[in-house]
Amino acid sequence: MSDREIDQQLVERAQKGDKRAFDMLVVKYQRKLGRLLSRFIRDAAEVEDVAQEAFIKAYRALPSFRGDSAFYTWLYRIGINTAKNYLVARGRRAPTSTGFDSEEAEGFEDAELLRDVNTPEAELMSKQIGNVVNETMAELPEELRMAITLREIEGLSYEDISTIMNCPIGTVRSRIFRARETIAERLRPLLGTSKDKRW
Amino acid sequence: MSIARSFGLPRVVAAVVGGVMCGVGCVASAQSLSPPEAMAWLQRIASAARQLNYAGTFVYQHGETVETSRIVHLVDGAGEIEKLETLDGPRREVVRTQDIVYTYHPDDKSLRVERRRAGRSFPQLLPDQLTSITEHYDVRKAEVERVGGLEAQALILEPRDGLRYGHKFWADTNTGLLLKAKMIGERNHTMELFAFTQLQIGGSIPRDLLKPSFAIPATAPAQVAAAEVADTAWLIGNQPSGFHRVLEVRRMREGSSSGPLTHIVLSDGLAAISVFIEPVSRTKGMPDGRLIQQGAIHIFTRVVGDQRVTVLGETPAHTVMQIANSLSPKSK
Amino acid sequence: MVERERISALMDGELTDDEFAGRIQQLRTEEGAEDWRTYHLIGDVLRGDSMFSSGFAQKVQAALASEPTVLAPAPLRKPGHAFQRYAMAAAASVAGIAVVGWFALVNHEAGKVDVADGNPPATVAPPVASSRAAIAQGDGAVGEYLRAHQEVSPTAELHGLAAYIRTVSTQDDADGQ
Repeated sequence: MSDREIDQQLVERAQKGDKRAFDMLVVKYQRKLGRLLSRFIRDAAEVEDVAQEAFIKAYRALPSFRGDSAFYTWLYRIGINTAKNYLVARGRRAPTSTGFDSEEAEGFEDAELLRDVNTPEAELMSKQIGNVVNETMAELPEELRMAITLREIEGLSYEDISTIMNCPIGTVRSRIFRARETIAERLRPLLGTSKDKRW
Repeated sequence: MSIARSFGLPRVVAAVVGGVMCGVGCVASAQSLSPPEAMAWLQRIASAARQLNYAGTFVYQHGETVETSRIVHLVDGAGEIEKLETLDGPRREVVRTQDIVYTYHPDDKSLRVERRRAGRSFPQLLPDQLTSITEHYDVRKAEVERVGGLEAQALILEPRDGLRYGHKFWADTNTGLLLKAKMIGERNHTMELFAFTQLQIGGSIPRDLLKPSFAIPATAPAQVAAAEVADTAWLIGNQPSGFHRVLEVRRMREGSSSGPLTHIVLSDGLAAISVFIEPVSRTKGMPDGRLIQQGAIHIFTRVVGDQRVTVLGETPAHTVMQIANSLSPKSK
Repeated sequence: MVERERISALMDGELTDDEFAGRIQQLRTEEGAEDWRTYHLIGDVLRGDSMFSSGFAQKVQAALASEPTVLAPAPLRKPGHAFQRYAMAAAASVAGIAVVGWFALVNHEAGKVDVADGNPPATVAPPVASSRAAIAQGDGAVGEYLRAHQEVSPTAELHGLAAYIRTVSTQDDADGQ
């Protein structure tokens, strides 16, 4: 299963009436979409509103999604359009189509803007989460830290990682999992996630 | 149709006749059959599905999916007529006459009319030509079991090589009708399963049951012509043993004015493999050099020159890959 | 925890074929969904992605709850121009019946006929799309091939091409054995 196929599976379930499958996609892409929107909407609360609207629009438009493109590409376009409409409605300059319609814009980074996004409250939470993640990363055994870094930051496949780390794919898989799980263990109290709390 | 008539005896009579026949071979478990014996059984299964009158409900299971269908099959002077309806999922109704297949979707009131070809469906899983089957599958007789309330003789078709999947058939001991069929993959894994859950063989099956819920267009058969069989000028350098070309046609992809695509069909008598060839430029979005599994079907696609070759069939992955990797245009 | 490890592999697109079945189902449990969320959060933090307030997904979920449930069992393929021309021509030749053949032989052997019942055929869904939604969406061409193969294969005649396409390998030109 490639990443795209997993999205496709989730989309298909959502198309069959399973709203939770769509929730999975929201969880997966909320921050990526947020980063995209924050390029031209500075206020963090507004970014959230627009992102939420984009997700709802995407949900409504789900019957028209045929898998011709990746789900994120499709969501990306909806996000851009939602942002444009939002800015126009507020009399602000909408992003030009040349600047943002290109999929290459996905790679665009603007750290300056990103820093502005968070509200003080969210900022604090982000900071705490960031601290926990970074601290736990630092404490991880070398092979776990390397495995998760190669996966999450470098975006390498398990196969590539197994070549680089000179170990079987099964070991890569287990190392990445153990890294995630160690960090997740520390995050759970902070996130207030527990068995009885809905996400 | 005299054979059909005799097979069409009411169930009770058939049961008496069959009961006598059963005395001989019902005891043994998994005994290898000589080719003539095996052939006799397969022949019986093949003709029963075509020549008997029957009506029943069967399930089709593959992966985690189970689907239920109702089938009515009658034979008269004009030949076979069969009606197949899905009982769950999207509604679908298939009516086959001797040479035309109508597929009707009540939900959008759409009807598809096709010339009947090699395509078969449960319980007609066996082809007319059975010789190649005994060449590539070892046929063994297994236990006698109850299926759908009837007594069934189980037969195991074990492939003689790794190029195809195995099968287990359960045939009604009285009439030879296939009651259950299983496709068996690697590690004895069940790839798919058909089984009657309810069945009437012979007796009075009301003709009304065959009545389609749509109007058969009188003009439709006129447009249904024979397939355009063509020499497609493609070579399979390493054709898996036992598989022979059974059909070679040029098809048109709908909505495309850019020309036809090539469709070659190979079969070993049980499993079918399709080869599709069309210009790469027309297959945008197709993954390259990729193997996909869809239930019992493996799909492998690769690019040869400016053509994309896609091979798919109900076989192990390496069978479709072997074909795809050895396909080449005949030298000019 | 085996389940958690599978979710971890699932989100990386690295689940083996055997494990995949039912895995997405697992995500629907509270625990599975929570792990999915937490693991994604970790990845996002490591990549330095901006974060919403932690309740964002929850808010969207709540908003979704009041949305009418979307059902798209039969995604429609919009016919192209050439296709429409063909459909019109054929309709003209068969009075009262619009032929909307989808995957036809060169000589129009296979035609899909919209039954004239007084209602205009508002949408013309290819037959494959209704029962083969997954494939039609996932890989259009593959879906068409499967449909064509079905005509010549004993299995999958009526059903058969259901929910999942699974990628077994993505190697280029993997060898035959």
